[in-house]
Amino acid sequence: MKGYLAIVLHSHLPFVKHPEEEFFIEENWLFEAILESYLPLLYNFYRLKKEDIPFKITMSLTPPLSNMLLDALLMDRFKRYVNSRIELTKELIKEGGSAKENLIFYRARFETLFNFFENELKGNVINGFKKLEQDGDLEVITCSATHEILPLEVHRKIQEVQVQLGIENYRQIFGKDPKGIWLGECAYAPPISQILSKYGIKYTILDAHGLFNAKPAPLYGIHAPIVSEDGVAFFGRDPEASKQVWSAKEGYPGDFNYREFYKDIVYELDSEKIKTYIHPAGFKFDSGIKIHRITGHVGLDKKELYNRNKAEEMVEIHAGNYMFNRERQIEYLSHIMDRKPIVVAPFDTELFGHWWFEGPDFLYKLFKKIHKDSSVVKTITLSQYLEEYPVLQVSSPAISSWGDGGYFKVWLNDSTDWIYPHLYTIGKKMLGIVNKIKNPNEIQKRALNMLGRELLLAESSDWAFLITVGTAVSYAKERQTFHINAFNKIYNEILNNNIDETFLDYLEQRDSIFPFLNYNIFTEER
Amino acid sequence: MEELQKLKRKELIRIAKIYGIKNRNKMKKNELIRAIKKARKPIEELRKTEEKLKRELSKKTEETHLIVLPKEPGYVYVNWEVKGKEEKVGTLIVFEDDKEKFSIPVNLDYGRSYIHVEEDKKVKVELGVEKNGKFETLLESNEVIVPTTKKTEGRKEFRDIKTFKMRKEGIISEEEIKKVVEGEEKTAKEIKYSRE
Repeated sequence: MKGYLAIVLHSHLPFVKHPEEEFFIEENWLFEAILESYLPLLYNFYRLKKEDIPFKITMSLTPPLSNMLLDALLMDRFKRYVNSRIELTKELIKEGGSAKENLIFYRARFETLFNFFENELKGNVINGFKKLEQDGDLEVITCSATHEILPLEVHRKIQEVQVQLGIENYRQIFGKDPKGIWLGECAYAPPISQILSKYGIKYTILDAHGLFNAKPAPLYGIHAPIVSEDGVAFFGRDPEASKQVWSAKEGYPGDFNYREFYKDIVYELDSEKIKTYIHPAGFKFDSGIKIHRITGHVGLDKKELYNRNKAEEMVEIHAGNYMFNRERQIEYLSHIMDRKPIVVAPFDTELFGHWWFEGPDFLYKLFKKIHKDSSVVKTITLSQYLEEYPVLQVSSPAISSWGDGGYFKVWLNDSTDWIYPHLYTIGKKMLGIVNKIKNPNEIQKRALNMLGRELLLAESSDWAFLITVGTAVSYAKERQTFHINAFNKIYNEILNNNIDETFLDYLEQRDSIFPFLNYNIFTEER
Repeated sequence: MEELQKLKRKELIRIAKIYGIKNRNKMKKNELIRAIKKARKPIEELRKTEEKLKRELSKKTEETHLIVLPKEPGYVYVNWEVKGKEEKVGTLIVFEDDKEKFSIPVNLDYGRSYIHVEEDKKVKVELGVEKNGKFETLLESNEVIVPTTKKTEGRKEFRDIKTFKMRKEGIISEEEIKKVVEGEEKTAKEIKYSRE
């Protein structure tokens, strides 16, 4: 064995919960991710275990996502979401037609995954992460509290709170401290290394140029981590290993035999006929039942029916090709380095299954192939690599992110820069008010805690990201605006001693992230 | 409320649960609808508040401030607001590594700008006014480091992260490694961030 492959999956969604509405379209982001990504991935990891195939993987689980996965209302709605899809496939199968085989496939898939969720995971996705973490197959790492772009946060104390809460949230779930952290969008700038060190984080991951442009430039490039003066290890994303999966043009997910993401069956069905499966107001939204293949560079009306067997053949080929390329890469590197090289391949978890339908099967096959056929490469978690090679080059990582362009323009540009003066201002108010209100009564305490939650939710990088990429723009603007305004409303009410308790109750139900939050975390050390 | 009529009793019970309606399991469909409507009233009021809070936000914070944020190599973003000053025009002075580099006349009360600065420098700005021929600083910003694409060579030192001791380590072929890194940097630049 000559070197290591570290697959790193970053699992994140913004906190979206709307108890005030019976059906809320943006809540489907979570349900789609569970049904299409988290469950198929966990299901395949459990399969590997049953087949005695060893595998190692590192996964982040961000606080907004874990808080949603533990929310009773959202999980209740998830069950409704899955059941309605099972019912819809049953109805459509009755009608027969050329797509019947694919519909049967979908029904069986939904039922299998739901059964896995209910019985094996006991209705809690996080149980799957816990089990694999305990068994040592999976290393779960945390993330900053609300996926904030920390280099765009002016207040050092709030940068610290983001890290502290990410760690505390992890402790609440896993009963121990995380070794690693995923920085929201891999965004790095000093003094983040100092902060990570202060709170006991051992490592994080940056895009390749975070290491290539480090001071001094590392000898091994991205094939060994570096360590900052503060003692935190930084791994770099391998561009080659990422590109084969990420790239829409050259990557595997674009193969013509794979399932077409953009053609959902719901848009071809008569609204009246499927009215019980769509939004009560009559809106159609993705059902997740997508029965066509990419086919080629053709319009949606020219897409051919999905052939599952053919897609599975391609998965086999692509997994083999990915392993072959990593072997060649590692073989070469192993001759010119004094240690076994590591190839770090980080991806958004939702790429596997949600965007690239066959992605979870690709990983399953890849792990299986590496175990059975490779004498060159082995999978590893990031902390295991540090255990094996604790001697690292001292270097200061470069300011960077993994967003388009490699820095911060995705979140800071003409359409989003209005956000940051508000974040600065409400952040300053938060840091001030915790010292101003001495001995608060119960309602004031609740209001101060809610103030903290509204600030943290306003700091989510997701709103700026969605505005920039032009997806769900209205919703993102509304959420950004709401959290800033809600903060200011409660802030003024606390100062004027006229807290609107009904509104506070309402927010506690809706923006219920971090139930354990204590506003004192914002108190600055003197 | 029309939508409630369309829902099955089982679904109405679930909604009733959200509103904390007692005895919901014993209620008939019409009773459930009545109870939900009643429970929704305060929610309707809250939704009006929410509607307002999610739509109206001025670009101004109405708080005096001056902030700098790093955007990309060679660029920082500056945003400011000054309350309670009569002067209309102010001066923004840009410092790189604590040295004054240039100044820009600006509207004093409010403004935003993307400023071109040198990569890899510590940048901060000051906002002030000319008074009796003297510059009076009103606000000082935070300091940021400007992102850079430059490479920095330097001493190669290794440290054991378990013992914190410095250690001697070496590579087998520095020239070969350099070639690998150059190839990978090229690939990294080609990757288009493709998440939607």
